[in-house]
Amino acid sequence: MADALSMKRREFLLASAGAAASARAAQTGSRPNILLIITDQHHASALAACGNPHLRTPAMDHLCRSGFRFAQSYTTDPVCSPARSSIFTGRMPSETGVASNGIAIRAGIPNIGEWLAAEAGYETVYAGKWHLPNSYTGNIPGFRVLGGGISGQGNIGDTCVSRVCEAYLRNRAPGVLS
Amino acid sequence: MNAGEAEGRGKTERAAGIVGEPLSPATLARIGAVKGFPAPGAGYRPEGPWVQAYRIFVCRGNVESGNEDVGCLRLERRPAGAGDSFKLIADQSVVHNDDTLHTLHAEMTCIRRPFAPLVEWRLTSRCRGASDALIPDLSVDESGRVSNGVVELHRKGGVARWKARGTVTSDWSLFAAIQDLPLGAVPAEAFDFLEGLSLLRTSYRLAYRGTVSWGGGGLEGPLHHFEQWGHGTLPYGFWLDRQRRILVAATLARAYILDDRAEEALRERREGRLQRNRQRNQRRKNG
Repeated sequence: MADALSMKRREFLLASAGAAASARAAQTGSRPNILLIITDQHHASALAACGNPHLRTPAMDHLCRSGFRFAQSYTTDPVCSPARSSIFTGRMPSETGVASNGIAIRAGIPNIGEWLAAEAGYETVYAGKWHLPNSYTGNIPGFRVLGGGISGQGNIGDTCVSRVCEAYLRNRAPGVLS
Repeated sequence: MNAGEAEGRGKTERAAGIVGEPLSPATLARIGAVKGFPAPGAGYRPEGPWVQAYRIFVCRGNVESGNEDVGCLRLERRPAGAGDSFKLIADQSVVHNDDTLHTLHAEMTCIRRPFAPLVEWRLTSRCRGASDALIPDLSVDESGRVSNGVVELHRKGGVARWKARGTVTSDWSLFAAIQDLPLGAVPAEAFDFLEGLSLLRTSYRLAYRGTVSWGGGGLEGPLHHFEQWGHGTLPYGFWLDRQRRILVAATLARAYILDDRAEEALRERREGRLQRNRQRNQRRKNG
């Protein structure tokens, strides 16, 4: 398994810069697709790949085996929306203004969707729970929202959200999920 | 015993704060999500034909706030002609936070045996946005069948095939299957579970957990409790009345509650939200 621990910090920063550069390179035709999956409030100890002997998490274990696993990464906030605001902006919740759930990111702070769309020519799509104010959920800057999740819960929304994501991909690029 | 006392004896004095226990008829009554259930129609028989409508309720874990009905599920069981097969038609509508309405329509042919094995099905999935316009690139049309232990799913982009380990049923056909079981008994064998008619999960089991008392909403007598569990999904509880109707199915924060007004209530709620969106857009237009 590739593990970020096995890389020196300098090597990782170089690799990260490479990823950013590849986003730029996307405009010239060699653009990778980027899929960011967020499992809500999911601690590493609840993954088989991280040593839990009681749970079966084959899909995420596969991602761990075939990619990098950051074993010493820490969230900026234990509450989900503030943590997500950091993931999407690269800033601390004290800067994004998302002090708790149900608060939108402060106006004027760009998120990664806006950056990828404006700077790298990506079509940016979001589906599922974010736990924003309802008035904001369908109008997230920088993203087309496919399905905004249901009542702040993942449980009921799982099959609905996976259905709309699957439909979007199949209709846009038939064969991509075959 | 009152509805609120059923099954949750000793916990009923906790009228506020966190729910603190899995959803069940007693829990739902305690938090005000269930006041009663519709009476069975004249001549109701579990083997059909019948139509049942369920409210889809979600609970955020607090007694007082954040709990709501987000959709409805309508199931219709019809004879399928000759033999021991039957038709099951499922219509599920769920409203997302961004006012997207997601609807699933599935027509299944099942066999009248334990777990109601799937033979073939057709499914459509549609999304309508906050203005009620269809979103064409989120539409899905699929068909599938189970033959010789192989699940075959035809969809845009190709055909998927999975080898099943046992009888293949689905979320919705399990409703019909459980209502058709003798109360107090379940087959011992495992079954496979086609979640949402799209994802095969293997080695599921069903257990009979006994009865819980119930006395609310004009319905007297014990409820019969079945439980389904297996890898990859959280356990489902099913509570049936003596007529073998599923009154409540629940898993974690989600419950399906038998309610004749479920479809009408969702339509009214949806229309209210569309009206609100239209007014908001008009206000924005007017500056």
